[in-house]
Amino acid sequence: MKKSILIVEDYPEAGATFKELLELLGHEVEWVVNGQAAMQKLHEGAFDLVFMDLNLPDMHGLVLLKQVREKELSPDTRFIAVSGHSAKDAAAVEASRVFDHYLEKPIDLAVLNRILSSTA
Amino acid sequence: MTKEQQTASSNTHWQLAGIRHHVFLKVFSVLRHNLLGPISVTRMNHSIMRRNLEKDVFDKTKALARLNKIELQLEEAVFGIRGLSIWDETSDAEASPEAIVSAGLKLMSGFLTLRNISVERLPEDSGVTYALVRESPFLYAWLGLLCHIEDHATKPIDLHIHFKDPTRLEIVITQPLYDVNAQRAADAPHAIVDHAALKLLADAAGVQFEFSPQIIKMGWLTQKD
Repeated sequence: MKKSILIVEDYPEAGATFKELLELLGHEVEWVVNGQAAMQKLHEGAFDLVFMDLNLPDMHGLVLLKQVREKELSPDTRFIAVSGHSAKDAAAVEASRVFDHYLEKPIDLAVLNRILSSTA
Repeated sequence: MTKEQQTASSNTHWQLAGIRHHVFLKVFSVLRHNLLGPISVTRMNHSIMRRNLEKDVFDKTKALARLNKIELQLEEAVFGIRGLSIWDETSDAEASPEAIVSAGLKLMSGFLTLRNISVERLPEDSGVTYALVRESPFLYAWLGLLCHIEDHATKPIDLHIHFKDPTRLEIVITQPLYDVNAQRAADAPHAIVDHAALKLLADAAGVQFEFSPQIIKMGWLTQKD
Protein backbone atom coordinates (compact mmCIF):
# COMPACT_ATOMS: atom_id res chain seq x y z
CA MET A 1 0.00 0.00 0.00
CA LYS A 2 1.36 3.40 -1.02
CA LYS A 3 2.44 5.54 1.91
CA SER A 4 3.20 9.17 2.36
CA ILE A 5 6.69 9.45 3.82
CA LEU A 6 8.92 12.28 5.05
CA ILE A 7 12.69 11.80 5.32
CA VAL A 8 14.65 14.13 7.61
CA GLU A 9 18.32 13.64 6.74
CA ASP A 10 21.10 16.22 6.41
CA TYR A 11 23.61 13.98 4.64
CA PRO A 12 22.67 14.67 0.98
CA GLU A 13 23.72 11.32 -0.49
CA ALA A 14 21.84 9.45 2.23
CA GLY A 15 18.67 11.54 1.85
CA ALA A 16 18.61 11.33 -1.95
CA THR A 17 19.32 7.59 -2.06
CA PHE A 18 16.85 6.73 0.69
CA LYS A 19 14.19 8.76 -1.15
CA GLU A 20 14.95 6.90 -4.37
CA LEU A 21 14.78 3.54 -2.60
CA LEU A 22 11.43 4.29 -0.96
CA GLU A 23 10.02 5.60 -4.24
CA LEU A 24 11.18 2.43 -5.96
CA LEU A 25 9.22 0.52 -3.32
CA GLY A 26 6.13 2.47 -4.46
CA HIS A 27 5.81 5.23 -1.89
CA GLU A 28 5.32 8.98 -2.10
CA VAL A 29 8.36 10.61 -0.52
CA GLU A 30 9.48 14.07 0.52
CA TRP A 31 12.92 14.84 1.91
CA VAL A 32 14.13 17.74 4.07
CA VAL A 33 17.59 18.38 5.48
CA ASN A 34 16.97 19.86 8.93
CA GLY A 35 14.59 20.03 11.87
CA GLN A 36 13.18 23.43 10.98
CA ALA A 37 12.15 22.27 7.51
CA ALA A 38 10.67 19.10 9.00
CA MET A 39 8.50 21.15 11.37
CA GLN A 40 7.32 23.21 8.41
CA LYS A 41 6.38 20.09 6.44
CA LEU A 42 4.54 18.61 9.41
CA HIS A 43 2.61 21.87 9.81
CA GLU A 44 1.62 21.75 6.13
CA GLY A 45 0.37 18.19 6.02
CA ALA A 46 0.24 14.74 7.51
CA PHE A 47 2.54 11.85 6.67
CA ASP A 48 2.10 8.14 7.37
CA LEU A 49 5.75 7.82 8.32
CA VAL A 50 8.68 10.08 9.17
CA PHE A 51 12.19 8.65 8.96
CA MET A 52 14.41 10.93 10.99
CA ASP A 53 18.17 11.02 11.39
CA LEU A 54 19.10 11.79 15.00
CA ASN A 55 22.11 14.05 14.35
CA LEU A 56 20.55 16.98 12.51
CA PRO A 57 22.46 20.23 11.95
CA ASP A 58 20.02 22.51 13.76
CA MET A 59 18.64 20.24 16.46
CA HIS A 60 18.90 16.70 17.77
CA GLY A 61 16.25 14.30 16.46
CA LEU A 62 15.05 13.70 20.02
CA VAL A 63 14.51 17.43 20.50
CA LEU A 64 12.66 17.65 17.18
CA LEU A 65 10.31 14.80 18.09
CA LYS A 66 9.68 16.40 21.50
CA GLN A 67 8.66 19.66 19.77
CA VAL A 68 6.40 17.76 17.36
CA ARG A 69 4.68 15.99 20.25
CA GLU A 70 4.34 19.20 22.28
CA LYS A 71 2.67 20.95 19.36
CA GLU A 72 0.53 17.88 18.76
CA LEU A 73 1.51 17.78 15.11
CA SER A 74 0.70 14.68 13.08
CA PRO A 75 -0.69 12.56 15.93
CA ASP A 76 -1.27 9.59 13.61
CA THR A 77 2.17 9.67 12.05
CA ARG A 78 4.71 7.00 13.00
CA PHE A 79 8.17 8.35 13.69
CA ILE A 80 11.20 6.20 12.98
CA ALA A 81 14.66 7.17 14.20
CA VAL A 82 17.40 6.31 11.70
CA SER A 83 20.92 6.33 13.02
CA GLY A 84 24.33 4.74 12.89
CA HIS A 85 24.39 4.58 16.68
CA SER A 86 24.37 1.08 18.06
CA ALA A 87 21.05 0.21 19.69
CA LYS A 88 22.91 0.06 23.02
CA ASP A 89 24.21 3.66 22.84
CA ALA A 90 22.57 6.13 25.22
CA ALA A 91 21.04 8.23 22.41
CA ALA A 92 19.71 5.10 20.70
CA VAL A 93 18.23 3.72 23.90
CA GLU A 94 16.42 7.00 24.45
CA ALA A 95 15.33 7.10 20.78
CA SER A 96 13.98 3.54 21.04
CA ARG A 97 11.90 4.68 23.99
CA VAL A 98 10.31 7.75 22.39
CA PHE A 99 10.21 6.89 18.67
CA ASP A 100 7.86 4.27 17.23
CA HIS A 101 10.83 2.37 15.77
CA TYR A 102 14.60 2.58 15.77
CA LEU A 103 16.27 1.73 12.46
CA GLU A 104 19.99 1.19 12.63
CA LYS A 105 22.27 2.11 9.73
CA PRO A 106 23.18 0.56 7.40
CA ILE A 107 19.50 0.06 6.68
CA ASP A 108 18.50 -3.55 6.29
CA LEU A 109 15.92 -3.83 3.50
CA ALA A 110 14.08 -6.66 5.25
CA VAL A 111 13.74 -4.59 8.45
CA LEU A 112 12.65 -1.56 6.42
CA ASN A 113 10.01 -3.66 4.66
CA ARG A 114 8.71 -4.93 8.00
CA ILE A 115 8.31 -1.35 9.25
CA LEU A 116 6.59 -0.28 6.02
CA SER A 117 4.21 -3.22 6.02
CA SER A 118 3.37 -2.83 9.72
CA THR A 119 2.16 0.74 9.12
CA ALA A 120 -1.53 0.88 8.42
CA MET B 1 65.81 7.61 37.31
CA THR B 2 65.12 5.93 40.65
CA LYS B 3 62.79 2.98 40.99
CA GLU B 4 60.19 5.24 42.67
CA GLN B 5 60.40 7.72 39.81
CA GLN B 6 60.03 4.90 37.28
CA THR B 7 56.94 3.62 39.11
CA ALA B 8 55.42 7.12 39.27
CA SER B 9 56.09 7.65 35.56
CA SER B 10 54.55 4.30 34.74
CA ASN B 11 51.51 5.08 36.90
CA THR B 12 51.03 8.42 35.13
CA HIS B 13 51.32 6.70 31.76
CA TRP B 14 48.57 4.23 32.60
CA GLN B 15 46.36 6.86 34.21
CA LEU B 16 46.63 8.98 31.08
CA ALA B 17 45.92 5.95 28.90
CA GLY B 18 42.83 5.17 31.00
CA ILE B 19 41.48 8.71 30.77
CA ARG B 20 42.07 8.82 27.02
CA HIS B 21 40.30 5.48 26.72
CA HIS B 22 37.32 6.94 28.59
CA VAL B 23 37.27 9.99 26.30
CA PHE B 24 37.59 7.82 23.20
CA LEU B 25 34.73 5.56 24.29
CA LYS B 26 32.59 8.65 24.86
CA VAL B 27 32.80 9.65 21.19
CA PHE B 28 33.17 6.14 19.79
CA SER B 29 29.45 5.88 19.03
CA VAL B 30 29.61 9.11 17.02
CA LEU B 31 32.66 7.92 15.07
CA ARG B 32 30.86 4.68 14.36
CA HIS B 33 27.77 6.59 13.26
CA ASN B 34 29.83 8.80 10.93
CA LEU B 35 31.65 5.85 9.39
CA LEU B 36 28.39 4.02 8.78
CA GLY B 37 26.98 6.95 6.75
CA PRO B 38 28.71 6.14 3.44
CA ILE B 39 28.39 2.38 4.03
CA SER B 40 24.65 2.85 4.54
CA VAL B 41 24.32 4.79 1.28
CA THR B 42 26.33 2.14 -0.54
CA ARG B 43 24.02 -0.53 0.80
CA MET B 44 20.93 1.38 -0.34
CA ASN B 45 22.44 1.85 -3.81
CA HIS B 46 23.19 -1.86 -3.87
CA SER B 47 19.57 -2.62 -2.93
CA ILE B 48 18.29 -0.35 -5.70
CA MET B 49 20.54 -2.02 -8.29
CA ARG B 50 19.55 -5.49 -7.14
CA ARG B 51 15.85 -4.64 -7.22
CA ASN B 52 16.15 -3.18 -10.72
CA LEU B 53 18.04 -6.23 -11.96
CA GLU B 54 15.49 -8.59 -10.40
CA LYS B 55 12.73 -6.72 -12.22
CA ASP B 56 14.75 -6.82 -15.46
CA VAL B 57 15.04 -3.05 -15.44
CA PHE B 58 18.54 -2.37 -16.64
CA ASP B 59 19.74 0.96 -17.96
CA LYS B 60 23.48 0.87 -18.60
CA THR B 61 23.96 4.64 -18.21
CA LYS B 62 22.05 4.72 -14.92
CA ALA B 63 23.84 1.64 -13.69
CA LEU B 64 27.23 3.20 -14.39
CA ALA B 65 26.18 6.43 -12.65
CA ARG B 66 25.13 4.40 -9.61
CA LEU B 67 28.41 2.49 -9.62
CA ASN B 68 30.23 5.83 -9.63
CA LYS B 69 28.17 6.90 -6.59
CA ILE B 70 29.07 3.65 -4.85
CA GLU B 71 32.74 4.24 -5.63
CA LEU B 72 32.58 7.76 -4.16
CA GLN B 73 30.90 6.46 -1.02
CA LEU B 74 33.53 3.76 -0.64
CA GLU B 75 36.25 6.41 -1.02
CA GLU B 76 34.57 8.44 1.70
CA ALA B 77 34.42 5.39 3.94
CA VAL B 78 38.13 4.72 3.35
CA PHE B 79 38.92 8.37 4.10
CA GLY B 80 36.99 8.11 7.37
CA ILE B 81 38.68 4.85 8.35
CA ARG B 82 42.13 6.29 7.62
CA GLY B 83 41.20 9.36 9.67
CA LEU B 84 40.90 7.12 12.72
CA SER B 85 44.69 7.31 12.97
CA ILE B 86 44.39 10.56 14.95
CA TRP B 87 43.14 8.49 17.90
CA ASP B 88 46.56 6.90 18.11
CA GLU B 89 48.35 9.08 20.66
CA THR B 90 51.68 8.34 18.98
CA SER B 91 50.44 9.96 15.75
CA ASP B 92 52.58 12.91 14.61
CA ALA B 93 49.76 14.47 12.58
CA GLU B 94 49.36 18.23 13.09
CA ALA B 95 46.34 20.48 12.66
CA SER B 96 45.25 23.99 13.52
CA PRO B 97 43.68 24.41 16.97
CA GLU B 98 40.58 25.87 15.30
CA ALA B 99 40.08 22.75 13.18
CA ILE B 100 40.53 20.50 16.21
CA VAL B 101 38.10 22.57 18.28
CA SER B 102 35.50 22.34 15.49
CA ALA B 103 36.03 18.59 15.09
CA GLY B 104 35.67 18.07 18.85
CA LEU B 105 32.47 20.10 18.98
CA LYS B 106 30.99 18.07 16.13
CA LEU B 107 31.79 14.84 17.96
CA MET B 108 30.27 16.09 21.20
CA SER B 109 27.31 18.08 19.82
CA GLY B 110 24.72 15.35 20.39
CA PHE B 111 25.81 14.77 24.00
CA LEU B 112 25.91 18.50 24.75
CA THR B 113 22.46 19.06 23.23
CA LEU B 114 20.97 16.26 25.28
CA ARG B 115 22.42 17.86 28.43
CA ASN B 116 20.90 21.25 27.46
CA ILE B 117 24.34 22.75 26.79
CA SER B 118 24.28 25.12 23.85
CA VAL B 119 27.48 26.17 22.11
CA GLU B 120 28.19 29.39 20.28
CA ARG B 121 31.42 29.98 18.37
CA LEU B 122 32.13 33.70 18.44
CA PRO B 123 33.58 35.38 15.33
CA GLU B 124 37.37 35.35 15.33
CA ASP B 125 39.69 38.29 14.76
CA SER B 126 40.82 38.33 11.16
CA GLY B 127 44.45 38.08 10.20
CA VAL B 128 45.46 35.86 13.11
CA THR B 129 47.54 32.87 12.09
CA TYR B 130 47.22 29.84 14.29
CA ALA B 131 50.29 27.66 14.54
CA LEU B 132 49.75 23.95 14.07
CA VAL B 133 49.67 21.69 17.10
CA ARG B 134 49.92 17.92 17.50
CA GLU B 135 46.41 16.82 16.67
CA SER B 136 45.95 13.71 18.79
CA PRO B 137 46.91 14.97 22.29
CA PHE B 138 45.23 18.34 21.65
CA LEU B 139 42.00 16.64 20.59
CA TYR B 140 42.04 14.37 23.66
CA ALA B 141 42.57 17.42 25.91
CA TRP B 142 39.79 19.41 24.21
CA LEU B 143 37.34 16.50 24.31
CA GLY B 144 38.32 15.91 27.93
CA LEU B 145 37.34 19.48 28.72
CA LEU B 146 33.99 19.11 26.92
CA CYS B 147 33.37 15.84 28.79
CA HIS B 148 34.24 17.63 32.03
CA ILE B 149 31.71 20.38 31.32
CA GLU B 150 29.08 17.82 30.31
CA ASP B 151 29.77 15.73 33.41
CA HIS B 152 29.36 18.70 35.72
CA ALA B 153 26.45 20.57 34.16
CA THR B 154 23.43 20.30 36.37
CA LYS B 155 21.34 22.96 34.62
CA PRO B 156 21.00 24.28 31.06
CA ILE B 157 24.05 26.37 30.18
CA ASP B 158 25.40 28.30 27.22
CA LEU B 159 29.05 28.09 26.16
CA HIS B 160 30.55 30.97 24.21
CA ILE B 161 33.82 29.89 22.68
CA HIS B 162 36.36 32.17 21.13
CA PHE B 163 40.06 32.37 20.39
CA LYS B 164 41.53 35.29 22.33
CA ASP B 165 44.87 35.15 20.54
CA PRO B 166 46.81 32.49 18.61
CA THR B 167 47.54 30.53 21.79
CA ARG B 168 44.46 30.93 23.94
CA LEU B 169 40.92 29.76 23.81
CA GLU B 170 38.34 31.16 26.15
CA ILE B 171 35.06 29.56 27.05
CA VAL B 172 32.57 31.82 28.76
CA ILE B 173 29.79 30.04 30.56
CA THR B 174 26.60 32.01 30.89
CA GLN B 175 23.71 31.84 33.31
CA PRO B 176 21.97 29.96 34.75
CA LEU B 177 24.81 29.96 37.22
CA TYR B 178 27.13 27.08 36.74
CA ASP B 179 30.00 26.20 38.98
CA VAL B 180 32.64 24.19 37.13
CA ASN B 181 34.05 23.10 40.47
CA ALA B 182 30.80 21.59 41.60
CA GLN B 183 30.78 17.84 41.48
CA ARG B 184 27.83 15.82 40.35
CA ALA B 185 26.25 13.60 43.00
CA ALA B 186 28.76 11.07 44.31
CA ASP B 187 26.58 8.20 43.17
CA ALA B 188 26.82 9.26 39.50
CA PRO B 189 26.67 5.93 37.65
CA HIS B 190 29.55 6.70 35.30
CA ALA B 191 33.11 7.92 35.54
CA ILE B 192 33.60 11.65 35.38
CA VAL B 193 36.49 13.68 34.00
CA ASP B 194 37.72 15.63 37.02
CA HIS B 195 40.42 18.30 37.34
CA ALA B 196 43.14 15.73 37.98
CA ALA B 197 42.21 13.86 34.82
CA LEU B 198 42.14 17.10 32.86
CA LYS B 199 45.59 18.01 34.19
CA LEU B 200 47.02 14.76 32.84
CA LEU B 201 45.39 15.31 29.43
CA ALA B 202 46.59 18.92 29.40
CA ASP B 203 50.19 18.12 30.36
CA ALA B 204 50.41 15.51 27.61
CA ALA B 205 49.13 18.06 25.07
CA GLY B 206 51.19 21.04 26.21
CA VAL B 207 47.96 22.73 27.21
CA GLN B 208 47.02 24.65 30.36
CA PHE B 209 43.50 24.95 31.73
CA GLU B 210 42.44 27.76 34.06
CA PHE B 211 39.12 27.53 35.78
CA SER B 212 36.94 30.15 37.39
CA PRO B 213 33.21 29.91 38.04
CA GLN B 214 32.14 31.51 34.77
CA ILE B 215 35.21 31.24 32.54
CA ILE B 216 37.49 28.44 31.44
CA LYS B 217 40.73 29.36 29.66
CA MET B 218 42.69 26.93 27.55
CA GLY B 219 46.18 28.00 26.55
CA TRP B 220 48.95 26.22 24.69
CA LEU B 221 52.46 26.65 23.43
CA THR B 222 52.90 27.13 19.73
CA GLN B 223 56.59 26.34 19.57
CA LYS B 224 57.48 22.80 18.68
CA ASP B 225 59.63 20.91 21.16
